[in-house]
Amino acid sequence: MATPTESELASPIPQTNPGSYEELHRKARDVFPTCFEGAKLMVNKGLSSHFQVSHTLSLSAMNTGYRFGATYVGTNQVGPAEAYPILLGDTDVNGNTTATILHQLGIYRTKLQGQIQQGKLAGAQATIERKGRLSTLGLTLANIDLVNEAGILVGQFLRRLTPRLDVGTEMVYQYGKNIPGGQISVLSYAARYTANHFIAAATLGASGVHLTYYHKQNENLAFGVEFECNANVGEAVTTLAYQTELPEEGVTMRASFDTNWTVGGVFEKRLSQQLPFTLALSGTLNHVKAAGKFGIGLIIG
Amino acid sequence: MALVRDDFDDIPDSEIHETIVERIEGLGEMFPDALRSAVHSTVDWSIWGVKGVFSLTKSTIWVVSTTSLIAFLPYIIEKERSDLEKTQVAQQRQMLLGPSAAIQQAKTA
Repeated sequence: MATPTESELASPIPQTNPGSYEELHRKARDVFPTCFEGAKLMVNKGLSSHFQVSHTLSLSAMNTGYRFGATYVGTNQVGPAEAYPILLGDTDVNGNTTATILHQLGIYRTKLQGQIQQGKLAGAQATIERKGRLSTLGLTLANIDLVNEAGILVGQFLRRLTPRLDVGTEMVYQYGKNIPGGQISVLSYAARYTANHFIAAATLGASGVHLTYYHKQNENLAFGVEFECNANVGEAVTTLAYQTELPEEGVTMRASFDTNWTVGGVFEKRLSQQLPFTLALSGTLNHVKAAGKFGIGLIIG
Repeated sequence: MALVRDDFDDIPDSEIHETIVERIEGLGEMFPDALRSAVHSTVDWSIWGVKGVFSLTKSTIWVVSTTSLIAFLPYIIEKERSDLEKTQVAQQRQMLLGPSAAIQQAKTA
């Protein structure tokens, strides 16, 4: 495949676009470890530059089984690492399937998602996003049931006020027969401040508060702090995490500590410079319950 | 103060078997009540304090050590290994430069 030139790589979405509303807390969240339990084997194989399949075997008390995934990336190159349409599918031996279609047309980005569980459509979601010069407008329809008159609508708006400050708002509207009063709506506001070494983001709403802070200490060390307060459940959790890397060894270490006395850590190491084997070790420990969960994983490809 | 006679007074001293602790406790009665209660509560609170500090220290050491075991140890091991490998490579390079260079290096170091 010929490498596209600079002009071809220019994305129709301007650089000043603030991104999606969902990705406000992304940077801090990426620092947090994704702990797993039991044993896991993952094989990723690229069949061509557009098509990739993955096989996942997991063995643990919670879920044991095999999953097969397939990814197709289209030929419409819109950025250095972005090409559309993207088709993603993931299924297990019982037929529980998740499928996603992502496509971008000009400044409009669409996403269709479906989930089948036990032979029934468990969830369906459609999102359309308009990514303008300084703002992002998003509309999501989820689980719309025309027969039973139920569903969820989400409207999102995010705007860059100054080069460092983004503000946004989100409205979630849910209607259906089993909801008291037939309908409910939740409004929430968000703000994000991006500086050279840190990003602070906040989401405030009637249902809770979500604050995150991301700090980049140096090239290989980053910290993340998250405060999450849920007013409906009456819970508040603060989590502190760090991520550090040894690039020449192919080592990534992520660990988190939270106010429920839970400690989690994930250690990833590339076993060889030439061969695509990665070993992952995961551990979580709750000091109050004195419960520990450990996992080992091998990723090939 | 009325003189009260109880059973102990009828038993001959040689037949009373008391331990050293009991004797000290009995002798303590020569001190005034206020002093005795003060000493008693001080000792009680000290025992409570020491117990509390001990259990807190115990849990703290356990929590800190298990936490670092999960959150820091894998990284520290890998870092040490990487550093050691680097020094070995540096040493090897020094050897390749010849003994004179190695001696010179050792002198300057």
